[in-house]
Amino acid sequence: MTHNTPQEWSRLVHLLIVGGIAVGVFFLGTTHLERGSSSEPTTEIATKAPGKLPARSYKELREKPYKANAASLATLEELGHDRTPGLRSGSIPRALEERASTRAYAGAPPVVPHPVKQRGDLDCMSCHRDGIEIAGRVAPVMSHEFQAACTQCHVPAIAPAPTGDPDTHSPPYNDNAFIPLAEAEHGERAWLGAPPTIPHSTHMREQCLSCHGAMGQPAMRTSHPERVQCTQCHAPSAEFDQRGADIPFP
Amino acid sequence: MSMNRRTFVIASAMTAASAAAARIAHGETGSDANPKGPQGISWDKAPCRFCGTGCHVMVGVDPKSKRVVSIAGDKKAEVNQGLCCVKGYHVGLALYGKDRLTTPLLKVDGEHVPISWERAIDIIAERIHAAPERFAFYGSGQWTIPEGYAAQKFMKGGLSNNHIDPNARLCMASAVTGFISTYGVDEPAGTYTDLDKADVVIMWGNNPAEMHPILFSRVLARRARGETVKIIDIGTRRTRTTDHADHFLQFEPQSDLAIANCIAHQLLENDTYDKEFVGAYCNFRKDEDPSKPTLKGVASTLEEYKRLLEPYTLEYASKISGVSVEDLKMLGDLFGKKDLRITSLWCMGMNQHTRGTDINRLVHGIHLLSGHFGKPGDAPTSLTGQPSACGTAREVGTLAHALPGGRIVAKKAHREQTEAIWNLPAGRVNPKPGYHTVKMWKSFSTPTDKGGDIGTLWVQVTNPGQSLPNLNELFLASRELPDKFLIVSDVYPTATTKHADLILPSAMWVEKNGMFGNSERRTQQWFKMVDPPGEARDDCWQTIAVARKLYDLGNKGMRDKDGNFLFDLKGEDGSSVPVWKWSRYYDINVDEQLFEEYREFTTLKHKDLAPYSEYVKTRGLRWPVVKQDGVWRETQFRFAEFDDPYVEKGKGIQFYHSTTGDHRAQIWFAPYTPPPETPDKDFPLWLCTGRVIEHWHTGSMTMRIPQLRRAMPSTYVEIHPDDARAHKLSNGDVITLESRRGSVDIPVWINGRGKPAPGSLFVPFFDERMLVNLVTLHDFCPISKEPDYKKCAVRIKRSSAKEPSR
Repeated sequence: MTHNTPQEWSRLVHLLIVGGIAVGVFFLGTTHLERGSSSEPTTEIATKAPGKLPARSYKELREKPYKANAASLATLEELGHDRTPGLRSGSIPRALEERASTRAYAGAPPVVPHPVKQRGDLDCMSCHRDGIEIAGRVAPVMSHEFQAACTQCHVPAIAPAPTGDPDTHSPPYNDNAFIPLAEAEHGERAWLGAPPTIPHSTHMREQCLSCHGAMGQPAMRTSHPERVQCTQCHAPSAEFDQRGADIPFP
Repeated sequence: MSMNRRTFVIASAMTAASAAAARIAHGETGSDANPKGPQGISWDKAPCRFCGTGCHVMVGVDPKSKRVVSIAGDKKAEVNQGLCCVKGYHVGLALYGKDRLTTPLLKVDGEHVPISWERAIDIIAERIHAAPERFAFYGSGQWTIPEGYAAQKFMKGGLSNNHIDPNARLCMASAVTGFISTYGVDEPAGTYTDLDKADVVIMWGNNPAEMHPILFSRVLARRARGETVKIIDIGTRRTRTTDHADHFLQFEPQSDLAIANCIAHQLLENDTYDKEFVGAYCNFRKDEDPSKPTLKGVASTLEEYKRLLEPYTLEYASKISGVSVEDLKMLGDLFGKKDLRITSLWCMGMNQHTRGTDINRLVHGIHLLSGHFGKPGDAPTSLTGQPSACGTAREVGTLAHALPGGRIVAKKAHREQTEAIWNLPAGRVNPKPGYHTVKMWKSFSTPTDKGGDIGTLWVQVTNPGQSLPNLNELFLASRELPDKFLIVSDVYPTATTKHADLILPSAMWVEKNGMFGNSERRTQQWFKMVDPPGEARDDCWQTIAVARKLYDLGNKGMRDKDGNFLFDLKGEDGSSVPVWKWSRYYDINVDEQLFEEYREFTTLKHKDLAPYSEYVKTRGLRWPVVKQDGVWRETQFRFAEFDDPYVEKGKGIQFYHSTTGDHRAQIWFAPYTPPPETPDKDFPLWLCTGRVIEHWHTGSMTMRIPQLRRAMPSTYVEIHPDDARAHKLSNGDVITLESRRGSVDIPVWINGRGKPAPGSLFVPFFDERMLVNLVTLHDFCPISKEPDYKKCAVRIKRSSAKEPSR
């Protein structure tokens, strides 16, 4: 991650203005998606002196393993996260509950918490390419590579039609009793201290920082954002990723 | 591995399933099921339940609750390559609407009361036994292949009754007649693979961004990767497809005929047609009398074709269609360039057309005339709306005139072949075609003493009370006639079950074994993964159980020429298994046995299918699937030597089912004529009907999926802002939409999902509370018998009701 150039700053300001208007207009009905603010102290981080972030050796890691933020060496400026403190905090179950509120099941494409009018390949990219966060509301970076037809998979959570009847229980159609697969709270660890495996498919979720980065749910953020090659240590699941889990060993 | 799958696998291993299939299903060579996946979920493949694209999904089943809990796009599926559309991702929820039908219901004094399955089967069998010729079976392009095959055999082989037609008549019949009259045999030559190679993709009255999203985004993805692919949208309204298109050509309803003729005219005028291709592989054809169109027509010549096309100048076509001369010229120039690869796509816009067969012929004709055929990326490809419109309706031939494998009842040799495979006495199959959909429902809605000779009608896997055109005349009229008995097999209460005399609760999708055939000739297979709710049972079982009851009642048709039951299915030890008893139905793999029998039909028209076990291993195979060098190999492009094993070496292109017997395709001439109803003083607006991405057809499944319903909770009228202003309407105002046939109250949406032209309206038909098919007309293509849902004349006025008519 690099420091922002002046051009990027001006683009960001522009996006903030555009996004701010959009969020203002479409605030209604989306309040449940606000990120909970951290209740844990952050002063330690803020007092760190600026400078380059040193990578830690495996020896150092053994002696002083990462814990959630407690021993983080980074200031956000150093990491290029120039928007909001991206600290890990809060309860994972609550974060997953919030996550589940916009998805039919773990792995389903999320619904969109604002009206959508895509009129071309790039419309949604104006906010979701780099992601923006304004006043606690987040437009996340896309978790997958660019796909032009966003509305193929993502539909608005609330109907755009003036005919909108948000009551999904009204006759003649009845309610749905689907019980979804829940998102796992943690990956598996081979032993205490081993890096956890990735407990979900990485297909269409290749951009780990979309959820685990500075703008992700605080409880789901990585404790070590300076490590950017996630799958170096965290093994994906061949089963979830449909990569030959069915091929038997000889 | 779920218990259901395990039970199935063990059962199939113990009985008739081949050793190979059993081994595969046990996970030894190719199964995806894993008993110890993350979170204990077992995964297995299935084609999506919804449209004709034919995506595969991985279905996650929780072995403890034995319920579907997750869906993932199937990365091994060539069609969708791991992606889905929003319907596909939520397909698992379609099983769990809280109002699933779980017990047979009989209408007694206007109320639906629960009855036993035994009684339900008795009632149906007795009614049929009393008057087999007055019975009709209305099926579906959502029938699995074995379900359609069982119904087909029951009707045509058992009852000698050809009154069986599928809802696919309303959907792709014009594509069928277009293919047959052009190539002599049904279904596209090309496949979706062409979309990866084409330089130009032309959509003819088609909105794949919403209706076939996976195919459309496959093209957009190429563009995003930096490839050059031109997307041209020829349509009557602006849609999401238009938003991504390079060119949008907005035409007046019906004038697609003039546009197509204008392209052909330019190719001849500019001398840019492919002389070599036409000279080697094409004949010319036309209707002898354009006012009396036929499937066969008469031979024509290039000179006559040229002369007939003379009126279709740029200026004339522009005047009729409203498309600019420049845009028409652009189309003509594109087709004139031989180094470009051009793929045409179409669906309901060309098929639901009173000249449906003709516009299909003309688009094939342009591709043939310009030589844009037979190379990867150069193909005219029709798309279907239902998951097995091709596999079941077209290939099994559950149409009133057809027999399996491209055969027709009118042909003696075809009847004899069918009787031989079914081991029936000579003459069992009735040579007279039965009633097509509109005629069947018209007859059912006509009093018996006035010639309405259909008295009992059984509907499976479809919702005609919402999807038939002109509902008052074709559907609701029958409900006033006490002697007309309507039986409906479905999974949810619908606009049809509401009016049914007997309702049968059905199993759906992964609650049963199944096979589908998608738009690109791909045959697909899946296994039962979970149990249906309550007493819901497979449609195929329902058909076999009624057949057996008729057998017990002494119906001679239910016996083959040796006196054996029509569906005498055997266990591994060779003894008959009483699959008509529900408790024994899954003792053997009924799908596999019916499919292996059906396979014998498929070689006549070179639509060869592989053994069942091959489909277990793959994400579908595109026929003809022919064993070459010991491997079952699918076919990407038919009639082209580079890929089709049935083309003789050195021929290049060979139309081996040519109607003229000379291996040539037919380039048809068909004139532009005005539609049967156009806006006038009394009914001044055009009405077009169709779909939206969130809902599939009549919405009986998707309206019960909260994510989809919240995104699109009710239907609406799309109206141009000028017309809204003229009628003093704003968003949400309820209007009464009225035609000569009926009316409905629907709210208005201006500048909404799509944008209609001034003077025209668009209404999606998914909402059973606001039935737009009360308004549509049932005029149909005289050749395909497919009605035109895309254009009729209506008027609007502000409704006195504040709320829509739901």
